[in-house]
Amino acid sequence: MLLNRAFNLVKSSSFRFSLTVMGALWLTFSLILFTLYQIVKTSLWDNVDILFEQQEAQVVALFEDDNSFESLPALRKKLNEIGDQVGVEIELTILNPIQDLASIAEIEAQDEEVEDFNECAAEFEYWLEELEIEDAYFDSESGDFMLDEDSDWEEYDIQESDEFRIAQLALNDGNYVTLSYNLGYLKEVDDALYQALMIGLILSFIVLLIGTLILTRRTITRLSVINQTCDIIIQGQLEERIPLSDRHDDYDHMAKNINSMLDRIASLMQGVQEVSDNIAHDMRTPLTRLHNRLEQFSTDSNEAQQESFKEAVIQDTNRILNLFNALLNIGKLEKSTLDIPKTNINLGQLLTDVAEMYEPLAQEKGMSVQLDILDFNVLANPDLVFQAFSNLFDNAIKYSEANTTIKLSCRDGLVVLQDSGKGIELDDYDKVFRRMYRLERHRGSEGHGLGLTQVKAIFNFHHWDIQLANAHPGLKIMVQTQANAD
Amino acid sequence: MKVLVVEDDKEVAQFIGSSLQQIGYVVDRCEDGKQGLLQASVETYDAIILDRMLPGLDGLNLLKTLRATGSNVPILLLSAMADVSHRVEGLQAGADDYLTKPFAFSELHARLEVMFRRNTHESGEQTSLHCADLSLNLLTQEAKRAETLISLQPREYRLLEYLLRNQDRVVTRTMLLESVWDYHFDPQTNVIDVHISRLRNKIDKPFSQVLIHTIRGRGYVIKSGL
Repeated sequence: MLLNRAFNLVKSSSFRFSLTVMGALWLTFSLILFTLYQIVKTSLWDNVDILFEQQEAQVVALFEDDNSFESLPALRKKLNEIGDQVGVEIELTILNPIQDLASIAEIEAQDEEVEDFNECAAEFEYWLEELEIEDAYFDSESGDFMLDEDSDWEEYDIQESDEFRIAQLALNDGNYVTLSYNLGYLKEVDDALYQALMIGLILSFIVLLIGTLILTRRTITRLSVINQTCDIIIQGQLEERIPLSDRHDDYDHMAKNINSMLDRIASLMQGVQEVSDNIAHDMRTPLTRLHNRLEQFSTDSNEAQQESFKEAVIQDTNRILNLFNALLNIGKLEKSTLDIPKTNINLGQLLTDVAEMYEPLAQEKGMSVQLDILDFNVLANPDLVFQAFSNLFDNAIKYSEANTTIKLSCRDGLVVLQDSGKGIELDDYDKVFRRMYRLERHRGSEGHGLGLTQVKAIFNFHHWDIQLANAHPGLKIMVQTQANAD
Repeated sequence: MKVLVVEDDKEVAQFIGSSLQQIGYVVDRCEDGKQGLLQASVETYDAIILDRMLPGLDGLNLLKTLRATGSNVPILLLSAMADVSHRVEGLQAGADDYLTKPFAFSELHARLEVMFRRNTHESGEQTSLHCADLSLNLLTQEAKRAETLISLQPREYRLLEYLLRNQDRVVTRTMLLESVWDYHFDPQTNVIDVHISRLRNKIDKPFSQVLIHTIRGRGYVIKSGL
């Protein structure tokens, strides 16, 4: 479980993203630190070199002055002072301060000829004593100074050039002074610095890794909640919704969007369900009629009977086909409507045409039509708009009483159609635009219950707004159209 | 009458073909666009019934190609798409008429008949139309029956003109809507019937002989005989 979670964490893109970003930052940071370290290191060593050179110069000056050699302890003191000046303790050893040039030549001669240092051993022993160097003796076998086991002296490994700086000064009188500078402590400082740097970097990397993990874990937990909910929904529990946190951040926004998308789909699905129920219901009547008619048909009926039978059957099938066509058209309007052409039309003219077309129908039912139409140019599809207003006008005629007036006006793009019929209950205002919704009292009458749905779809397509109102008595339909900007 | 049916849906092609043969047409059938184009350019037809969606070469391109070669054979475009945009597109490409599937055969028949007439009688500008003792002067826009002047509303005039131009042929309600009202839409109610009955009141009612006949389930026809 834990392993799985860790695996998920590593797999997630947000984790990898934060890790990359933070890693890059860390890398830059460590590069800068490392460069700084290098600079400090170089300047430290350079500084030592400068100090060393200064000391060298001072020592040379000291030794060039013959008076310095009058008292050996004084010389020591002065040398120590030189060491103190630069703030570091220097180990200074004067080796071979032999004044007799001849004896030096002798030692050198012996060096070359015989591999035996016995002869100069006494000389060295004397100087060891003279310089108060204890705990050491001269090994005549090898020609080296050896330290006692328990000596206070430290033996430096000269091969480590980092630990020592050595300078040999040739004096005027032929003597040599060897200056050696113990740099071991500098190396220690350097090592300590380096270690601190490394430990710091490793620690900060661990902190970074943990920080990234903690930060992304939150994101991933929230994402996985969303994903799990989606999985549940995919598996069939369609009413499931993503829980929202109270942070109101982008994840909440996303969850909210997904939820409202699901709600929309659910309501559409419910709509489809209702429509298919209604289709099944409304289809049953004409289909049953058709079925009955076909059953009644007998082959020995006369020609006139056959003719009327055929016509009746065609009418029945036409009804069914019309219903399907209307459904298809609405579907098309609600779907992609980009390829439906719009042209500049005079809405006033179109409304006059509608009224003119339906006026005879109204007059036949004993109604009068009252027009108040001004010209108004709109960008629209004339066939669709004609269809929409003819549906509305047809309804007005269908549901109005005799001896009433239907008023149609168009002013500044606001089209108002008012009848004096029974009107529609306030509760039903939204319902009448639904697919195949029919008011209970009209269930039996002709029509497929798609007229107003079609109207709504057409106006939606044109981005026109349709509203219903009570005209006391009757229904008032207001359509706000939009002027053609061109 | 010789008709070419270019339609890849076998059932629809069969339905059109056999129905047309029943009323005495000679019918050739093609199932894809390229074959159809070849057939249409090799043989001479009185009309072509062309499906919009075809394998090989689609109906609209076939139509354009055929028109580009100078052929003016009447073409009726069939389409499963009820979209108005497609209708306009089809007519602009050079189709003489446009019918959406599913359709009633009577509708197809009526449209074919009108197309034939248009093709044969188009030559020569007519100044007046006659049917029995009814005459319509196209210049003065006056209708007369038995020397009695009948006053007509503009729409009634256009309705009568269309009926007279297609004398003795059945015109469907949809055809009337498209040509008299210039709008392509589904009126849902019998609004056309009301207009026809108004026209009848003016033209037929005062006289003994009935000219405008209703053909049940199909449409209307204006004719002098029975």
